Amino acid sequence: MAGRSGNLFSSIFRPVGRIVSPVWTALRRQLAQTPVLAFQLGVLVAVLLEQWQGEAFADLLGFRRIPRFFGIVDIFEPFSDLDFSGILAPFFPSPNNISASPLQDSVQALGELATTFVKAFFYQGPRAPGFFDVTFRVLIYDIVVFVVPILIIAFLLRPLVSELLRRFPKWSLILVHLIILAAIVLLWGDDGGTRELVLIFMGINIILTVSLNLVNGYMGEFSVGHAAFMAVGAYVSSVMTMWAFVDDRVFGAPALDPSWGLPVGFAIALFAGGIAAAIAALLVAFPSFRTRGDYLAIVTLAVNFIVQSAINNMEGIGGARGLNGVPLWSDLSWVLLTTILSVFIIHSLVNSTFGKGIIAIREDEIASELMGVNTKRIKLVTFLVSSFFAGVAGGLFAHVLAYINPGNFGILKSTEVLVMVYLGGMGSISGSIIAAIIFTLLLEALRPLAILKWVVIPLILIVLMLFRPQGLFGFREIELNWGWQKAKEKPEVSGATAED
Amino acid sequence: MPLLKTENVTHFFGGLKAVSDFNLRIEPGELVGLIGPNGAGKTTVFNLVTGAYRATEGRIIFDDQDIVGLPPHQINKMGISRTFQTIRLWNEMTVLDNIKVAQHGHIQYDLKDIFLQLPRYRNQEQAIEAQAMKMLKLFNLADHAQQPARNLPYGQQRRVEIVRALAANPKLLLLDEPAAGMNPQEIEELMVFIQRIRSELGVTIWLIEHQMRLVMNICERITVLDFGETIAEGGPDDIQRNTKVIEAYLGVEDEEIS
Repeated sequence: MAGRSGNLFSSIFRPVGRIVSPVWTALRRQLAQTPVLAFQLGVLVAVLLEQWQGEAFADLLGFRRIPRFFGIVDIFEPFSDLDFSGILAPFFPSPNNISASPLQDSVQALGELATTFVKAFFYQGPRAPGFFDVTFRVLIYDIVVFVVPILIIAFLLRPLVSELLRRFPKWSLILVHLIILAAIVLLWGDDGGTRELVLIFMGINIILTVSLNLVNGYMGEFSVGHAAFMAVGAYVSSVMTMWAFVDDRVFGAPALDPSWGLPVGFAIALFAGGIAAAIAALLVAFPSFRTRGDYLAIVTLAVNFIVQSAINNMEGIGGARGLNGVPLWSDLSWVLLTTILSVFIIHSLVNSTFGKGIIAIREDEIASELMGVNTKRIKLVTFLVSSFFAGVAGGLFAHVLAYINPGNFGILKSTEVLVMVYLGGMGSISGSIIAAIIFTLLLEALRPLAILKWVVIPLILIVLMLFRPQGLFGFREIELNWGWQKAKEKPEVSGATAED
Repeated sequence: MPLLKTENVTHFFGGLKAVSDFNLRIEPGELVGLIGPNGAGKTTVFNLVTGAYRATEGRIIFDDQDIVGLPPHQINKMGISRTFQTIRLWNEMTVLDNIKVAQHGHIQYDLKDIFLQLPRYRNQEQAIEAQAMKMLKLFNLADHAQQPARNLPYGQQRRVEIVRALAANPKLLLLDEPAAGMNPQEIEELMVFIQRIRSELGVTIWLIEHQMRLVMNICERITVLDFGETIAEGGPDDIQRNTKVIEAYLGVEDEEIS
């Protein structure tokens, strides 16, 4: 609890820590002993509670509506009035608005900005509460509606759940976990509005991050053009669904019976998008996997631009104008299902002995080849699997936006995915998932800051890289208490003597 | 029939002749040594046999097949496994995973089996794990199974590397300076260890070593290299008396080697 450095810091926090830390330790022990399923049920109840009484309680606390995304959007709302334009504008005046004394104007604007900034923390007016006020009320709301019910339900159900976990076979329990997860996500998120949209992007980002982590984290290569494969998947699947099932201006009347579109047509289109992306990756892999390191980075960077300009010049699929009229088929359940499948497949890959060869390549490629690992094949397979899922994510992406253009899949998108991978930590699936969730939420939460968002997010990243260069969970997985026996992962090690 | 036979194997690094006309026969079950001063080309010979380098000239016959030009992982699968002069374990992986991945050549399942978690995949994974644990127990390393390889002390890492090489179930095991950096006590243990490998697993062993005590004690036959040329071959006693070998090692009379 005490600060790691600085006397002032520790002298303030040590006494507090002395009181809080035993409570915290006890709570943590209780939490660790409670299986995930109990928490899931707690969350389910909390979500239902919010739907039942959330609005009334929010009203009681003085909110006009239920706090958005547990309030994290609301707490940044007070900063939405910050105006930076006045500081530099006087020095670069437009012809019809020339300032007499730019410096004075600039300083004045800076003063106004500072006032707005300080006011944003405390009080802005009767209809616009300050940051501290909102944060306080958001905390109360979250604790009453979420934290307390979740903990109560989880602790109450713990004996019952533990008993169930012992009784039933593992596969049925995994199914139960997934069903409850789906119930939570669909109950909470299926509002046809912002929540659904943010959750969909969260799912797409999870697929992108986990798949890129396979190459950059597990294999230790450096691919920077993930958006290129996403673009291939997006265009191939969109063209397929539009041509086959939709009456649109690009391809005319549907070629097949539109009633086949969901679920069969869409599933095939997504898969085909993934396959197309994998084929594109094959073309990249052949020349670039002969050497290690920077080479692949340069090649994938180039591929990103090549794919973008190729699509720009394909008039048949809209060219630079983009492709309009993609059916809006990526709803929450599709994204949820695809995300779960993708994560499951990549998880099983890296946990198989075959997949651990990927990690061996990262650790020592020459030794791996000499110890019987077919490094060429494994590198190729890994890259293809990674690109396949980028393509699938691209397909989902296209079918949620309804309109795609080459600009969606530029180097910025690739960078965004890279940021999520390094935020979560290399070689960690759970890290990637957490990072994708945090990053998507952060983009949403900081929306009120407008352009300032792109100052705050890089700052957060810089701070993270300074204090945790390995990312949130570099080369580690989050250990959760699932409650079932880990039969396979803990071989007995008894009966062995220490030395020869 | 010899297990390994090299016929006039020659290798150039650019204009430098690193190995010239290397001829050797190794019979199944033998324990053979390869010695020579630093830079004599010993490790190059190992690299040629394991496929890390492709021999410029000559043939390498293993189990009746010419293996020159085969990719290293395939040579490993055929039954030649090795350790390295400097330890090259997969450091971040656990000891158990190191041993499991070394069985990579024997994996029969494919991606479809993994993604669908088919019985074929699960059965083989169990077999691989069981084999790995058996190896670790046999060489008293089971206690360290779940530790990352880099956390082990140096001597243990050396042993894990040997066990990793054995995990592929090789017919021929190449040990590149297994005693490097070990103290006399550890060398003593290593000698027992190497002899145990041969007696319990029946693996043919070919080793490079600078520690003469180890080489002279356990090797039945020794080849001596100097500047890429084979200057002597024979039993430990012959080699110790061979004047060419003494010259190559000692040069001047009074100098001493360990």
